[in-house]
Amino acid sequence: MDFSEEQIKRYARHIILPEVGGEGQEKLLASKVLLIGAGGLGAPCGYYLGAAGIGTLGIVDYDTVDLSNLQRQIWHGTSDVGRYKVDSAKDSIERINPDVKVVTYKEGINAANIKEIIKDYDVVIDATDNFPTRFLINDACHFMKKPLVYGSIFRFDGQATVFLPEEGPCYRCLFPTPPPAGLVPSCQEAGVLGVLPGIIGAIQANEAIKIILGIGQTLNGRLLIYDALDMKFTEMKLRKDKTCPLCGETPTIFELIEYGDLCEFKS
Amino acid sequence: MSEYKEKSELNIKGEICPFTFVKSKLALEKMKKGEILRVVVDYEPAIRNVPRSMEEQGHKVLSINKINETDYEIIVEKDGKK
Amino acid sequence: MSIKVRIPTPLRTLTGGKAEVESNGSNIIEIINDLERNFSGIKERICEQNDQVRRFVNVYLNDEDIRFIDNINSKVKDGDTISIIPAIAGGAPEKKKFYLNYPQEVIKEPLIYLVGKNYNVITNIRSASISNDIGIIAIELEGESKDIENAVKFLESKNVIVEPIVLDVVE
Repeated sequence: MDFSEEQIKRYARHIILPEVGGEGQEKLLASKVLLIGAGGLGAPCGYYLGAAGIGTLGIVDYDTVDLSNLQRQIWHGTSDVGRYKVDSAKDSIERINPDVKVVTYKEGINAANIKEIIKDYDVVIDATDNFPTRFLINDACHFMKKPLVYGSIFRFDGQATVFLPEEGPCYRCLFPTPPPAGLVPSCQEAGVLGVLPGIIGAIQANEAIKIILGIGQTLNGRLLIYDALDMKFTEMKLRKDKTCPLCGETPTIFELIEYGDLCEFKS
Repeated sequence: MSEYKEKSELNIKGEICPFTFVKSKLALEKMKKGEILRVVVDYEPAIRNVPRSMEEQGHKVLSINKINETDYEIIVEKDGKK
Repeated sequence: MSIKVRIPTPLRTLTGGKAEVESNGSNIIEIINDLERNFSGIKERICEQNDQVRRFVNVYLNDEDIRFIDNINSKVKDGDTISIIPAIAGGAPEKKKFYLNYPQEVIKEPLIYLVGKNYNVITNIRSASISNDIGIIAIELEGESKDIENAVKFLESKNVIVEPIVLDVVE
């Protein structure tokens, strides 16, 4: 492809990099990334992906913008309160970069729709905020062989890694099953420093871009742990678990599981 | 004028840095190893900045010449240092 | 033998806010038992009744997951660092307001009670108009986003019309 004058200026700092160049920028413009979650992690991640010139950015979120989101979900503004998050996100991206085709999904992701939604994308980003959806995304990406960029936050703690299909490991190698309700911190205990998802979401964008460009070392096989209070980044080995119920030697999971449905039977 | 047989020519008079290098690099990406590009610029600092960046990225700068009152040419061999 | 243990923020309420504590022992379970002596209540957050590490918590000896060494029997030595890494899902509790429009046939069912009981959300009725044949309730649901989503699905499955209150008229 030939870049327009505007694109040459817009992507100059990418094109200059030996690891990116015009060829890399073309890859980015041809790539399709699915961002699941348009909240705290999704906002910085989507912003950087949009600015980088990801050609197609899918954004999934059923939710609307609430005033309490704005402390960290930086692509929504005060005047967006009450709007669908994906609509607000689309406006923000288009304001930054008209090259990006934003596809919005105003629905909760579930076992019935996830395969259909992710099938056309090159990379999936888990920017969600709950365990059932995280396990669902992990399992779907395993079955559909999609690279998954994982990021998670709680209070002052952040985690990030990359799960590559076939190579492994997967999220279930790290944590085989979701924690039972009641053993995770209750709502009253929860909360999050607004900057924290900014840092982890930006790391997710970074990893997605590297996967598309095929450059550097991704976090695959490494769990990055960030402690915002002590300002410490540490790294743990993340190994493929032979006993993993999804990608291990004798798997027991062959289809998508909706943990959310368990609530019906919770006493 | 140079004694090299250029395969391609890029006239980017009016451009300033870093776009002089950005456009030179995009032109080089479309060429094959060993092919010669002649870049014409009229932004004087570019005759130092562009060759340095080209060399850093593995191209071989063959010559830099002032060709008239305002213009300069940079002759570069694609991947000449790889 | 003194070993450094890194405490994740959710457990720091038990260590008086300390991010790193010293603990003694020659293997992981001894270290955890020593932690429990100093910071009562921490063990049950990390281990099951049978001492095995809970499946949504990982314990690392330096940068290696103890599941890939010798689990809770993994030997430790001076200078080692142990990190406790729980599964975290992110997000903050949300408060969402909805109008619930009850069809006549379910007015007598305790739906809001069931929502609170089964979906781990806090319900708060902000205004209501209920008669024999119509029920409109403005309600606030507070909880994790997935729980709120499931609560809404449940109400819809009971033919309640659930509409988000977009403009904050019920504050």
